[in-house]
Amino acid sequence: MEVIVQVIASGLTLGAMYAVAAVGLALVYGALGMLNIAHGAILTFGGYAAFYVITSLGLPMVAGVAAAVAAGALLGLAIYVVLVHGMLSAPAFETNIFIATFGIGMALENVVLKLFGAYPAAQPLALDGAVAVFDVFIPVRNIAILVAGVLLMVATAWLLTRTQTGNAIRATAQNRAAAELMGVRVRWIYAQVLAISGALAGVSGIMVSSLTNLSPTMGGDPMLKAFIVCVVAGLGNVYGAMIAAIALGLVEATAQYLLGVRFGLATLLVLVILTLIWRPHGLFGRTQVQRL
Amino acid sequence: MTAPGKDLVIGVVLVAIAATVPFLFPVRYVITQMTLLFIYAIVVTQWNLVLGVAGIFSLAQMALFACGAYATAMLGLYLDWSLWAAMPAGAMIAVVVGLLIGLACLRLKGPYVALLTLAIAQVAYLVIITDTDCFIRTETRCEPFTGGASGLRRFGDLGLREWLGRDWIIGNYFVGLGLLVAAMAFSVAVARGPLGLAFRALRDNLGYARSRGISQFKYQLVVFALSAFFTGLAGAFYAAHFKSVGPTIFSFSLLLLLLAMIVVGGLGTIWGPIVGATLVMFADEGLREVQDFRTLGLGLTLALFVLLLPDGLTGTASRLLARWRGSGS
Amino acid sequence: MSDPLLSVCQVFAGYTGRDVLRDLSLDVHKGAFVSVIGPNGHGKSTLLKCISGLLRTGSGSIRFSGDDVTGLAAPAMAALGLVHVPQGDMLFADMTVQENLMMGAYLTSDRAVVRRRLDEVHAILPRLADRRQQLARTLSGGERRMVAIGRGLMAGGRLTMFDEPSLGLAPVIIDQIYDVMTRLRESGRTIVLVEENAMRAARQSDRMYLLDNGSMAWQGNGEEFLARPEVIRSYLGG
Repeated sequence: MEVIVQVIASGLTLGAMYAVAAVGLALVYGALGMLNIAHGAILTFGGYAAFYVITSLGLPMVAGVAAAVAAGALLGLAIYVVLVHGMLSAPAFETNIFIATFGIGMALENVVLKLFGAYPAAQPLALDGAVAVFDVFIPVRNIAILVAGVLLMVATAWLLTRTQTGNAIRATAQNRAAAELMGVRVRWIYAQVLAISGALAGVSGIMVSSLTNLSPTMGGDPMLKAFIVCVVAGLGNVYGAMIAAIALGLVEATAQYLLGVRFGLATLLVLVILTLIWRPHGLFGRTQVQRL
Repeated sequence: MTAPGKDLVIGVVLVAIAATVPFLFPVRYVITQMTLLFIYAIVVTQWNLVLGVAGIFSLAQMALFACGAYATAMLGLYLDWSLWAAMPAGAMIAVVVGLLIGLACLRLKGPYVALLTLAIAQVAYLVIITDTDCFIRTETRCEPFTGGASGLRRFGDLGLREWLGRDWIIGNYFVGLGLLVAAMAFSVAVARGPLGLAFRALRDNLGYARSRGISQFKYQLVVFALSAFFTGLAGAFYAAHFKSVGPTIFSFSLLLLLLAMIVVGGLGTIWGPIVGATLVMFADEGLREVQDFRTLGLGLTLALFVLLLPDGLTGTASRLLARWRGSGS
Repeated sequence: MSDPLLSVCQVFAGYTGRDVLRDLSLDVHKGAFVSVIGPNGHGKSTLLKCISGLLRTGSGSIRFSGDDVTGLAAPAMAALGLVHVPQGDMLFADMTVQENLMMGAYLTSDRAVVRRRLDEVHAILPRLADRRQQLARTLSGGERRMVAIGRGLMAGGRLTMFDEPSLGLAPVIIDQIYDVMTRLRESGRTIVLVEENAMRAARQSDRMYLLDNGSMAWQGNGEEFLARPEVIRSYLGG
């Protein structure tokens, strides 16, 4: 019984973390048809931004969170302005932006390495202590991640369904030309989506580093897992990504308990391959009719 | 002169130049780096075939390279095979793995293939680097089956030391050059041959090509598996030449380097891979002073090229040449 | 006669390498009901796309409400009050009927005005009120067409263009669509209708333009068209 509670707690924590990272990726893919491989680097930057603001500038915790959000949003916006805007109308956009964001992501990692050094550092925003749940001690930081994750999911859903911007984002993702006919300035929507995605990545950077410490290369693994979550859900499906994130978090926690931590990603990989064999467009994805 | 004729001339000239290098610059470092260049160039020519010609958005090339490398090392280490036998065997194992990956991924859309192959490469890396169970246990050392984080060593070499003495390194150099010539010949044959035409048809007009019976899946699988052979062979030769193999070949940094080579040279062009590999390698050498910013430089180069010169140097050059010729006549 | 609300002058436009519209000119006056007819593939949809900004014109000019709008993109044209209800509906498939309609009013910030327009749309198209919360992808062909028309009306545009509203529908539904068109005409709105069924269009139209091979082959009002069987025969195959 103890073990089950621990695995579930661990799984929900992982799931919340992946959800925050995956939702940003799903939004970007849904609206722009783009895989943002710089996402991991933005995540790392966010974690370090919080670290810098709190330890070097001595500002309170809240400022750390704000710094991560701001750093992520600005990086997302910068990616739009520098890369996406110029490449949108060129051929092979999907392939090229993948490669370009991969390059930018690696470059950003190098910058973090130069600024902060290679040695792992502790994330000051990690809360200490543990709470007893069903006779099992669960770290407060895990609960904090779970709560923060849920709040962010709710906030994202609210943004998408109850605001004009959110409606415009959904409309652009579903039919770009029709959205333009309604008066939606699609390019501006793209910039906003990348900024939002970056902000979410920044927050997930705080979450990840509160569990595993800050290091310049910390972003690659969570980003890959977030992408797997998106693929399982069906690329571009935001609510599907939330559900898939929780599910995959639980699966990974279970696999890590049964097989060891090193097989976490491998299990997810096997899962995603099986899912794609069964449903080539993801669990909640829909076949696009191929009009020739 | 026909296009294949021109290719042959360029190829012969390049090989002739390359053949003189070890004698003009008999410095061990130069020869070793050139051999490494050949190895990378082989991978890049094959990857160019997969990504640029066949249109398969795969990032598993390094995983296939590693297959060949690790297979060769293990055959030499655990079964005492001569590396001359282990290398082609390693290449074949890479083909089998390539087929498996292809079967799992190729029916899917572009972005899915990219993400899945990236994940596969990363999983392979993680499984190897966290391998700590001792497979060989002696009093002095504990070595995991896959070599773990420190890699595999002492599994033999190409044996050219017996024939050539101190010049074995030049012998290896020419083996590498020979493999590159073979790999290049293969990829030119595919790109200029019927398969290449079929892929262009699929890209230009999917519906029509399908209606003529061109099966994208089958052709892609064939190219993917065949290119895995040479990629695996490059990995095998890497292991044989450097006499050690470790998980660094899975690193994102190496992926970045090779991707930069393809993009700078020109994705989908015939000579792009060679041009790109040579230029990026030389630039990398020349910028050894600013090692700390190597990744930054490569990353920015990659992004800038994709943004401003998506056809790479070779592609842009041939476009400009065509326009200049067109306006002349 | 006052200046036309919309004026298309000697426009050339098309897709890569191929000009679809050739030296095309037409005028639409305020309050008029204008139909554009002609054989399929001869440029009717391309014309609407050029006007609404989805497609760039090669050469020529377009004037709307006195201003030169040549080269303006779709969102800018929408902001000027030009509404395009495209062929094939282009609904937001994963949004509800209500959400689709509200997207039509995206540029309108006055909530009272939006509420009023919604009531009007529900009055003209009562089925939409019934199916408010239904996802667009689950609707039938006729219902989707209604949503597309309703969405266009929600914009409250100064000029509204409909691209083949009767395409692919059963005759019963087509009658309903044309009832809606009649009501719109009677309300005094400025309408441009692209239609394959020339006879139907003729009965409503103040002015008709016949597009053949990308240019204007004939123009006149509805009665003139109906009185000229030879036009009908030669261009539309009887």
